[in-house]
Amino acid sequence: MIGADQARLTMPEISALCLRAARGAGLSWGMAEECAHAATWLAARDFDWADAVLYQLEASGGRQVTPRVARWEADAPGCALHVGVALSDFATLPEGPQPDGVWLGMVTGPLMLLPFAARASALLGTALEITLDGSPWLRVSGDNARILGTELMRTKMAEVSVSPTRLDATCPLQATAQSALIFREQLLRLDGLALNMTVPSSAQSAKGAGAQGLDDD
Amino acid sequence: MTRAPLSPARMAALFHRDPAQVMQLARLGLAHPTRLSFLRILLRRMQRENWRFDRPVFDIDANGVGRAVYRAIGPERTYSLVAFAHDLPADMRSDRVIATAWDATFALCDGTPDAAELDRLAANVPLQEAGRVTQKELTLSRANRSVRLFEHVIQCLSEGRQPGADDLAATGYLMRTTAVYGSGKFGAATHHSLNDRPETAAPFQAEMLTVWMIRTFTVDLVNHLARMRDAAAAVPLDRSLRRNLGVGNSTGLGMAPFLVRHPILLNNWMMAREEALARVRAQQTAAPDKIKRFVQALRAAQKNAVVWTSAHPLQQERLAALRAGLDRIAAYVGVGWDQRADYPWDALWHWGQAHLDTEAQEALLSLMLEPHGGLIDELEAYLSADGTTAFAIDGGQQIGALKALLAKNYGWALEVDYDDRKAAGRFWYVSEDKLEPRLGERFEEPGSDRELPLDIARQAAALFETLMDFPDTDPVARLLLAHPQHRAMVRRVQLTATRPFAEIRDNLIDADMLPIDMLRCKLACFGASRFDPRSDRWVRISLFQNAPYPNDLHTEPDL
Repeated sequence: MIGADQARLTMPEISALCLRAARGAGLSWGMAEECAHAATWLAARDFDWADAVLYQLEASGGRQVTPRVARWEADAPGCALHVGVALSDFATLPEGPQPDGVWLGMVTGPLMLLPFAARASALLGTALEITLDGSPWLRVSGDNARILGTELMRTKMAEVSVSPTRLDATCPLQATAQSALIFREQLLRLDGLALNMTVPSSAQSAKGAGAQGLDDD
Repeated sequence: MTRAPLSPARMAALFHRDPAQVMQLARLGLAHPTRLSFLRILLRRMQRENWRFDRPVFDIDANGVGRAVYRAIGPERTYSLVAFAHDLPADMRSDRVIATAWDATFALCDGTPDAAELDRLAANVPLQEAGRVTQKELTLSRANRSVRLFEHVIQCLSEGRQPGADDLAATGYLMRTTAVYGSGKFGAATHHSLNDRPETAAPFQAEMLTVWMIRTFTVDLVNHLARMRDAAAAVPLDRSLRRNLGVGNSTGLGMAPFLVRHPILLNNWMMAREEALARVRAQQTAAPDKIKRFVQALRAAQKNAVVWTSAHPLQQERLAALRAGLDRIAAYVGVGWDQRADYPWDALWHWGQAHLDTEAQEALLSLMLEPHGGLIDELEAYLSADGTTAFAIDGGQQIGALKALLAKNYGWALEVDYDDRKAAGRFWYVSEDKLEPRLGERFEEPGSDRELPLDIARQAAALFETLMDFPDTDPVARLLLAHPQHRAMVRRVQLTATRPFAEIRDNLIDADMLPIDMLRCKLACFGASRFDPRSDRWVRISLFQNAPYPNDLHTEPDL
């Protein structure tokens, strides 16, 4: 059921919306692509993708982290999108979660880490367990996820650790959804951010693009 | 699709064209449809699988207002085109994607819609972008009548006579679509969700089916309106005349970024075509039946080039070159081509390289593929792509390897001076009011700070320069940590390692760049013909011209 205050978007619509919103929020195109990809990953598994994206784009933490072996460094709590991207980039390097796990430090909006932890898991060919403030939270096995700590799902900031663990054969949360819900109020906020990457049309740009006159032969 | 799956055709590898030649925009902009074009794939499948077609609903009044349902019934599933016909005042008729009313609107549905679903569609489909469809719909589209032809044909038929063939040829369609949305847009089913269906696995099959059935609807509509005008006198449109009608389409800048935003698809489409050409060139002999079919295709192309007209000076020039080139091919095939020598198709290809200009060379490619369905049609299985497999950046790759890849696949971009006003003269952006891609003049208009990342050449050069500051043994992850602005470009470079056709090898922000070349490249992959540019930024085409209709699909040879 869709509530009156909700809308249903398909995965391509979520991807396009989040790409534009992330770019409108000032991310580089490459990071905006990561944000869009992460949004659809979460949406396809029925996670609260819109809240996760908005939290990163409107109230994100620091964008600079320094991956180190076993223990990453940052001057301020790291935005999960940027920490997550670094986690997947460094997955196969000594700074990654193999063999004994890695402490990522304080992370804001940790749900956004999940798609990148999944990617790291796939790259490493092992399951990864994520803990928040020392409590087990999620386990990812490649593209599948299992929630270990339901009560932690709405955590907005926590110390995060990622450790290799045994592969999860049951794969409870696979990507199945082709569309996902969003509150209209959230949609408006994302649309608002997306508008920041557009440019007012000029008469010159419209010229020659078929905008002039009737076209009916 | 990477080079790896194509290895079974070992000999063909010796005959591949260089991506550096193939992917130049000026050459891509002269692409011709081939038997691997998407509409051909659709028609072949429906014929092979003996699809059936019917029209369970046709409820349209004398003013051309009402609804109709056309069904395509395959071996496992049925698809229904639901058409809503409208009475559109002339002053509301616009081909722009931003229009708000159309002569007809359509949705392609999964299965046969019941009355409640038809009512739901009636409340949404005519609104197009302002409405919503569901996962039960595969496409959403609309079309406008050709004012020049539509009324004329109805009048002729209602008076018991056929319209002139020349009149039909001059326009080539009764209606033209102004948008055909698929793959998840406005709530529709995603391509991903249909991947397990063989009939929608190749690119744009739902869209092609939509347009093909719209074509039948347009002919049914003029026949119906002629009968409503004068039931006693009216005659239906002659079968041979209707054959020459396709569905028109206007395509503008909105389509241009697609090829840049989907590098894996672009690679697959081009690689499949190039592999097909290589396989043909690698044939040691040319069988008589293949030569006969080639000559038939050549004659059809010559005929098509005669009736293909355009008011655009650039296209007129290209058409003259095409006609002359096709005549030259015909003359050479008649007397100069040694069909009994070893590798005769390769010899013909090499002759073309030496004696034809680019337009005719690309036409020759299409013609050479035509007789070789048994050799190349299987390549349609490689046209689709799962972009997610290449999305992850390999952060462990060493900088030296990335640098080598960049030099190999982007050398064409590295020597350009992007401070030059011509080289960086334009920028792509999304317009605030219409949310459409546009092309701006960088040094004359505001907004370049919000430009779309279609400046691939410039990004490649900037990345290369940054790489110079890093040791070759450093991992890419370290580069991206320090320079996240290069992330999108690093992803592109890495995926070209096994996809050499992923990139248009030209500077897309150059002041002299022609967006219509990008449009034609994509439209030729669809199977479009008779490209008619209306400016350097938008083009008219026709789809399914000279293709069979549902009731003669199964007697059609050589699809």
